[in-house]
Amino acid sequence: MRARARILALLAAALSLPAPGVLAAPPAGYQPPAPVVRTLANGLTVAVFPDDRMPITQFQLLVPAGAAHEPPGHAGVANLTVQSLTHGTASRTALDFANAVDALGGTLGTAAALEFSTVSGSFLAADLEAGLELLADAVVNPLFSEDELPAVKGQIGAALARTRQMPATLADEHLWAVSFPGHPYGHSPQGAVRTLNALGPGQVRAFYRERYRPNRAILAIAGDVTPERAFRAAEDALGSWGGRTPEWRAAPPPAPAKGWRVRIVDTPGLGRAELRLGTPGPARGAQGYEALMLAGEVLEGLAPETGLRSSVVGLRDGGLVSIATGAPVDSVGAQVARLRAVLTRWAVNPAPEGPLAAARRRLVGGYTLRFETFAGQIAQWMSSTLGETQPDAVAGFPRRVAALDASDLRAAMSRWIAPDRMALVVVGPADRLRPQLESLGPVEVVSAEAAAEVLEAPSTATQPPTAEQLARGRALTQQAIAAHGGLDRLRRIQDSRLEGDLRMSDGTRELSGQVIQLRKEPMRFAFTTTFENVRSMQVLDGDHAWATVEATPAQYDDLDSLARAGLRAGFRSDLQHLLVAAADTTARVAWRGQERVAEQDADVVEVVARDGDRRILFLDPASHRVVAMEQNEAGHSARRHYYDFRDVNGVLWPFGEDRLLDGQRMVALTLRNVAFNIGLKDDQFRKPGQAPQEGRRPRPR
Amino acid sequence: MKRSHLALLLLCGVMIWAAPTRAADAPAVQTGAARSFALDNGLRVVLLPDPRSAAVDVSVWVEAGVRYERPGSLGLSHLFEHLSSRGAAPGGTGEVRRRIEAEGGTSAAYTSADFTCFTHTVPRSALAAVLQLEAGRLTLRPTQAMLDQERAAVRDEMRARARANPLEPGIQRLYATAFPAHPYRWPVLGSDEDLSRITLAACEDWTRSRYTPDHVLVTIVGDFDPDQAAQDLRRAFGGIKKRGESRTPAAEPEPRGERRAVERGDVQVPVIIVGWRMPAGSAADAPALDLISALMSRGPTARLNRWPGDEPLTRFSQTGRDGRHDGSIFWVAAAARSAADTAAVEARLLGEIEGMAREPVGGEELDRARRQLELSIMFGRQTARERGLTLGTSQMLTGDWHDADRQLERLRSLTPADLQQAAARTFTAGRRTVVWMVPAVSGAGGPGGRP
Repeated sequence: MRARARILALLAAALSLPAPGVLAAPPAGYQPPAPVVRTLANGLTVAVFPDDRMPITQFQLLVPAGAAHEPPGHAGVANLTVQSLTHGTASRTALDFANAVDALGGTLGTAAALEFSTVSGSFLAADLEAGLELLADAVVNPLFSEDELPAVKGQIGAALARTRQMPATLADEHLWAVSFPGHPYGHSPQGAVRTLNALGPGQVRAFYRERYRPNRAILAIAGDVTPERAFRAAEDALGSWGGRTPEWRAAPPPAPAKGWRVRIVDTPGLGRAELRLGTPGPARGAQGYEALMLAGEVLEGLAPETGLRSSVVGLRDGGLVSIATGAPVDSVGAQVARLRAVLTRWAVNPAPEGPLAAARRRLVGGYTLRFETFAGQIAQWMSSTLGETQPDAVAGFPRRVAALDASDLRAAMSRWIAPDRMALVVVGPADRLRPQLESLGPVEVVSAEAAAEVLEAPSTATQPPTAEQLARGRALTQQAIAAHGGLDRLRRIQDSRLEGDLRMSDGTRELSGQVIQLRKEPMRFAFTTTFENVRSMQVLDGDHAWATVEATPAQYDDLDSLARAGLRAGFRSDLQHLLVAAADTTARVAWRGQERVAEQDADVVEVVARDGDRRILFLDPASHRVVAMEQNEAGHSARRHYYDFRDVNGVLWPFGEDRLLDGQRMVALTLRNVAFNIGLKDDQFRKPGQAPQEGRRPRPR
Repeated sequence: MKRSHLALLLLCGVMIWAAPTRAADAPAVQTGAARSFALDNGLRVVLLPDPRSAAVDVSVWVEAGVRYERPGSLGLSHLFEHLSSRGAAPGGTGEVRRRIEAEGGTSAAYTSADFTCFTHTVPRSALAAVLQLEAGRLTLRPTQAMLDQERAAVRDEMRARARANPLEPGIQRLYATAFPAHPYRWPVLGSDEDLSRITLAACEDWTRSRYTPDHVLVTIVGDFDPDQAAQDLRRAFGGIKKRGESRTPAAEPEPRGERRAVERGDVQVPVIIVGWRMPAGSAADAPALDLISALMSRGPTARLNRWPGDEPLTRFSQTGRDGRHDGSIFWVAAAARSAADTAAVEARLLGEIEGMAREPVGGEELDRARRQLELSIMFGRQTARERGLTLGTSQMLTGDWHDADRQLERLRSLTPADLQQAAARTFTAGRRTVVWMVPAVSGAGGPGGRP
């Protein structure tokens, strides 16, 4: 936990700190530590920060392999690649690797950012060589085995789920996406569940081969080690690392269009909204960058009642100027009005003398605190080196800030800040926010679950299908139906009984039980589960639905419309109904391309029923079997992966089924018995006559 | 799950600060350069200059915690932390924080069972100004409006904590059961009922009796001139007269026999929390117990994280030592898997921990745990604030700020026999308190059929 916090702190520092030259000035007398730097024969830059105050060392390898470098359609591959490094190497399994780190008492962590990925370690100084050997093993010899990828994806999926619960982080991510539409800087460093699911070892290995090379990588080592020892250890561990990563530059960021772009990230139930206002800004080290930093500090002092915080983040080929604040949901409109007013005032006069002096003092004062830890020192220096800025970028910043005057701030503001061309992101309940924001301009509403950058994978495509796609969709569907026994056999199934074992997991705990599903045409469905000897049952009986939990005395509760709808969807979600629905000539069936699912390539066929119900079938191109199905609801990706197909009365039926929510396996179903047309009676779905006993409290739903 | 972990981290928070250690070849807090003195009014000072620090940290420690509270006004220490953070400067609400941030600095405050701490990290140039601000805390005159405002803020905090930490009732039950006579049996945040009863007069009395120089320690760590700092301290605090009263809490008799309790709460599976009260005068055992804690639950190969050949019975297990002035506790907490036999879970945990007294630990395992603990401690002392908190906590809990380094030296020299002896002194059935937290809706009776 502590190690993870350190790694996150380091990453956060590297991401959020405005970079070299951008930071506030150190007070007189304080000199930030300057590293001893050497370049190895393979091009790896090594920087050493000797500090003998405690016998510990921290090191970080930075490779220019961030989300901005991801190929189109491969969102998340940077994160998946770096997270996979420690999950198996040529000489160590994932477990061996974890045990080797543990034996040293240290930590080794990985993280992805927009412009780079990092591998960081913390060890006793005496263990520097052993720690670097582990780092080198992960970076130079990773396997990216197919067996390990699901575990890594699961971890990333869980992290993405946590992010969705963090309004401030969501707001930041979406502001980058709205400010850089279609640009690499709009990518999310974490990736997105949909595209993550489609990534396989091939894409990861290709990204690794392209980006994980020593010539543009940087290794920083801080702590109780001499430069000579550190260089020798770096050479021994990473000297044989070969290959070259090509130069990469981002295209110029798009100029913001006139007007405000407004995005609401819909999070129903949130009481306090998060607001972000932003616009593309200068690259780190570019002219006006430091002046904008100082202007941002002035802005914070101009409107203390708004509680706003300014930020100027510089990347190599562009940056983002942003203003962050929050407000009770029903006051967002008023808060935005206040922000507009202060923004206009600020743009006209960014540097009144009193606030300018106070801002300079605050900026300079806060500077030194960033150098208190090894992580901070490394982050400052690395951001400087990445930006290829002037040699005194870090040490000379105080002097440069001291020299900035009101005219410098005005020039930077007029170049970069146009109050009538801003992006606004608000995280909160859309139904209450939209009326407050519509007067600002077009309002886009996305769900909190959506990736910050709305990406289209084949399974999420929304554009109307072409005639070719429709034709191919029909053809593929017919092949799938044939592969599973033919339409006649499927249509002749009038009832079915499925019985098996169920294993549920929420990522932290597991629950095992049994399940029985009974279906009878039309619209009769009984879903029975038994966990820890407690049997519960939910039943759909045409237009009526009820539930019971085994108890004494027996109690039967009617279900509401939402639960009825859920049971209807459940009734139609078995393979028979999926295929029969796809054969319906009134449905729109379209091929959407190929996508990776369940670790294999699959044809993606979209089936939109007459009532608008949309499902995605993933078909094996060779066998034409349905290997997965997806039905997304409320922004969640709900998938089923099918396997262990067996013949049941001429119908090919999956006896194994994994159910995934947003990429995380939640349920594994293993069927023991499948039977069709066994003569189920309507009575078996009818609610027993007993009504709930008077005076008993209704069971909570 | 996440919330449960948070709860355990909260439980072990004091332990982290109170687990002083250091590597053999370099002092972790560099006490060699430190000096301490007291002003005429009784205010104690520890100065630890480090010219290589990037900043300076000023921490003010007040002997104000539940240890000094009385029934009817429980939670006064924490409420007063809020009051004085908001109102210690003439500018009113939030002025202290605003002034610190204007210098580019950061501030924090917290209340433990034994003390209240206010800490500020600032550039060297702001040190004198911070000391002046802090002196204002000792002469605070709270108003009714401030009291009403902060009472509401504390209620919000209590609600937020209750939401964030479902294990809090179980932890409270552990202390209430393990310390039936001492004020440690009461929650640090107090109770909602008592919060309503606290009057302005009670707050003014608290200022007079607790926020007085003879109950205050100031630590300054980092980049500063110690001679100048001593002058600044005298200028800021020297004119404040001492007026405190001495309060000695009720003594807690040594435990005689196992105590058990069941607490129902917002948990999905049964959670066990066991605490062993360390014997009086056994502070020297602290490093050994911290090492045992690392052996038990730190890292993937720790003993409680290994279930060779079996399905794990627990979702997670954590251990730690909560060091307090009048009595420390070594604790273990674990959430049972839904289908696990709770009696088996309890037997496994007790067997592992109390078994430490019988079996010597192997050299490789000891070395791993020692490295983990040393790294954790040293990486946790990188900043001026972290070093200041280490020194101050040592002083407030043991009465000697040197204790931090002494315990670190002890950690490095511990042998398997030392661990066995410390375990034999602490991990006895007679010192044990067992609390099971169970889902509020479960059937009658405690886990494993035990009360």
